[in-house]
Amino acid sequence: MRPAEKLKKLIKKLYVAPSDKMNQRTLDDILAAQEKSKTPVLSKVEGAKSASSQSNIWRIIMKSKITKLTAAAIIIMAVVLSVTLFDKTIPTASAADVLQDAIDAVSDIWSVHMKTRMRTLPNDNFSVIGLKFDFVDIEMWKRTDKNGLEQWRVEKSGRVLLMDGQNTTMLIRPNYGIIAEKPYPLGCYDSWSGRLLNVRDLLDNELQKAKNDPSHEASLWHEKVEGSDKLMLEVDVKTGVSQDSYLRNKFIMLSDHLKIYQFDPKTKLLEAFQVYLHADDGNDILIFEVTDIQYNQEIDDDVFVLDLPENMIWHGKPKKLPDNEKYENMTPIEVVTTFFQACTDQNWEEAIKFLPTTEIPERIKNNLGGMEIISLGDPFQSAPYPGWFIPYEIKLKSGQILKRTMSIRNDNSAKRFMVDGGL
Amino acid sequence: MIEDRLLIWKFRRGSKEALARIYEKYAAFLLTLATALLNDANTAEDVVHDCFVSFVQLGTKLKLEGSLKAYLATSVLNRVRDNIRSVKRKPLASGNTDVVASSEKGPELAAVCSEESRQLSKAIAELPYDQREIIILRLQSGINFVKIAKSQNLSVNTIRSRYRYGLDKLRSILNSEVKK
Repeated sequence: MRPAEKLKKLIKKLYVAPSDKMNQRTLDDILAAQEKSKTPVLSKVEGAKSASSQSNIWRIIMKSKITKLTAAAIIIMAVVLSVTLFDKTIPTASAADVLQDAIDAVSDIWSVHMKTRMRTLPNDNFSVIGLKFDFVDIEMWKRTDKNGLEQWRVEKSGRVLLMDGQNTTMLIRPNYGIIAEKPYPLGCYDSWSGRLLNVRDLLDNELQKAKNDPSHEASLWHEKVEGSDKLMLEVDVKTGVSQDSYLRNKFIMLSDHLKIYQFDPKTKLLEAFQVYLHADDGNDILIFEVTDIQYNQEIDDDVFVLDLPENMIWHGKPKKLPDNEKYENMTPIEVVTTFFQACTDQNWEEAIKFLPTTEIPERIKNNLGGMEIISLGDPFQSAPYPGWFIPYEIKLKSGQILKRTMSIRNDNSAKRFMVDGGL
Repeated sequence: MIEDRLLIWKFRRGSKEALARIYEKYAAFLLTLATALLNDANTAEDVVHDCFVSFVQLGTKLKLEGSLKAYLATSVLNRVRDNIRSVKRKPLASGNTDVVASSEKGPELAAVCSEESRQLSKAIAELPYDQREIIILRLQSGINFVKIAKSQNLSVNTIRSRYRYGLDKLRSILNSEVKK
């Protein structure tokens, strides 16, 4: 007799591959049906009589000038309750109410600890992204003590940003730092992900944008995640940054993207968050995600103390030089040429005139000392960055060829161009 | 799940790529389900084809209550049931089961699996439809008894009994085949 388990296994392995003929026929027919079913969005407004007829009502409302004002007062969107197989109920709710509930729920939160990951570079700017970059872990903490003192920390392997209640310090490992004797808000120094710690502001911002900004298309639904009911909020953002912009897809805020928030419907707390970037080839790439959030947990005091190495090199505002005018009048290409020539000659007194630091980090001296310029590209600008970008190719003393783009800016009190990135 | 959400989101906005990806992702699963239930490759292909066409025609009116996979499976199931009803007690076609093969790809196993699968498909076709559907949904599609019971408006115990009877009958059909 056949053992029952073997029989079950055989049934599980049943597999029928569609024939090429079937694939061709079905794909042809469904793509034709899709083309045929495309009708102007506004023509569907008349048919959308109830709030239960799916979430694209928001899009329809926002595209109609007449109803836009009404939409500012109240958002009507479908909330589709799912997901158990064969369930039949589809209750509706106001997205504004749901978001407001979530905002209220986080009002009393005194600590947040968030683990995230992002396609970025460990040592680079906190906001920089790259579709081909690997994920880098970013961990963030925020707490407010009984006296209302707020502290926060955002950290990835190559950078730490800390606001201890009085000062805001960024350490770029191993020993480069920027300090401001002020309690800066989250989001400073381009710490985009840090803004997520302000859960209340984040949700409030989404609510306002959903109400007022047609470039933010929002929809809500319920979904079962690992057996539990979750409330999902999708926000699709069109930034309007042109495809040929240099900065497009290098920062989330300058890229068309889809944000997916997950809330616990009972506590209304944000539990998960993902950002997908709409790449120019039509693919959606996961670029950022929150992997864990803990609310109202005691955070060790040590988290809000930064251990700095003794040989710190500090970023500083450039001072006017005796011959400042000479440097003020340099074109972007002259700036790069002069800076690189100083590196070639290991003339660090000259090189530091282009760097906003107290001294030149050993890393830069070791890398660039004795280098040779292979080529320089045409300088260009890309909004909203206030400076210039200059593509370059150099050969290091070690023989390694580097092909990068340097950024320089002169919006400082000395009014001369300083190297801002790309080294 | 998230990938499906994105696909649906893009599909609703008219993305051909998303639609093609949905088809590519679920066509084999649905075709296996339909073929196992109907034991007729041509009708199964028609059922899956119609299911996708109807899915596309819904467009922005699509109300996805569960996962995309479950939605499509339910759609196939309803069409299979309609088809079964329309041919009522007409005996199921036999000898049209060549397309059913094991998902194991090893070349040495292919011949054995093919023969085994052919026998299995033939045996499944001999089961009463209600038992066949439960066995396929449970074992091939991985749907639990509670959900199957809900979908058929029956008690879980009834579903379990039919499943057990169906499996026993299947084993006995296959054993008698072996003895021949």
